Amino acid sequence: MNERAVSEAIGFVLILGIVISGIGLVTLYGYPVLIKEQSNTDVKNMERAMIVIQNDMKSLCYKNVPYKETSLQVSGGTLEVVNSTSYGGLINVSTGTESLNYSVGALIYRSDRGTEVITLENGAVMTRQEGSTGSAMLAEPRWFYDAPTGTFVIYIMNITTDDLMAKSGMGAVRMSLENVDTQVRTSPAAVTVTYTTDGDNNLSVAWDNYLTGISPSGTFPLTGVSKLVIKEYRIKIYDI
Amino acid sequence: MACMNEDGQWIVLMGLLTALALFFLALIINQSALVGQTTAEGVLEFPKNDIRDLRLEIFDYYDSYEGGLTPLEQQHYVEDIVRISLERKNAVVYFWDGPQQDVSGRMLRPITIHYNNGVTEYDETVYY
Repeated sequence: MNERAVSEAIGFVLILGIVISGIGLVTLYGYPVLIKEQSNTDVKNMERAMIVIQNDMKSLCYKNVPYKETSLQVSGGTLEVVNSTSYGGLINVSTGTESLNYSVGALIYRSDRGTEVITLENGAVMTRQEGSTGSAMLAEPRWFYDAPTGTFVIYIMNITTDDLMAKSGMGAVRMSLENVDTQVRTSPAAVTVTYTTDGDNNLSVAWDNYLTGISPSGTFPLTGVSKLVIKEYRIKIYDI
Repeated sequence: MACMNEDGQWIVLMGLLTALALFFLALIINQSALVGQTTAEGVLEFPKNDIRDLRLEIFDYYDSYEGGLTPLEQQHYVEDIVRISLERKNAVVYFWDGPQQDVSGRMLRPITIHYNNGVTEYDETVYY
């Protein structure tokens, strides 16, 4: 082969240049995509973890299990427990003659890198974006209206805790059922359920959509209810 | 490179194929874990034993009904079943019976059972 005009030095510089530009491009465009992907995965994992905790709460409330413990990994954000007394989320059930207020606590996950906020409140897992008004329900609470008997069943899950708690990294959620209070009202005039949202955690859109979804007529107040059952479960969270 | 011995290249190729196969296997295992979880949840949520217990209770009630309960006792019995189902099993339950009918030579009573726990709604009419 004729090897005139072939320089080892120029070849080396060219190859090095290509490699360095390659690394540069990946750092410039690839790294942010990777970080975003990581953050999305963290949020997806947390959504699943919240649904697992929701299932644990369901076991406490509906299956007579007294104590539950779940280990979970909180990555890319912080999980916080808010006591029902210091949380603004409030459910009001009005029967025409009386008005009952139930304050619910919450478990809130806030993503560090993104704007996602996932909330477990009153047996429902909801997601929203920080800074915007919309919200959506990922897993619904088990409220139901039984049409043949005209029974409307409302479950309230009240989260209580002794201290304020927040967690990042590996942890275990330990909770127990403190007490159950059942209230039965026969032939209420009209049942109206109103949700008042917490000032820092606006989930009103998700709750409004859910409430109009469970009502057979799509609107509240709900008339024709022959029996209203409200079961309030007090769940105590010891540690996360 | 041209004068090198290239007999070992298939080892490298097989290594690549194994890596790809492992990648797809990992994807499938990841999916199957999800499927397993949702199936297990579905089975756990289904109140099979609750419905069986309820049927047994109702049949017991109709056995004692034949045994001569007063109308007030009958009413209390029904109310107890409804209340206990709601309190313990979180289920809205309702049942009633019709007049006895001749079913293949036997006098049987149609019992209609309604069960709803918010997830599962169950209705049946059983001749007992």
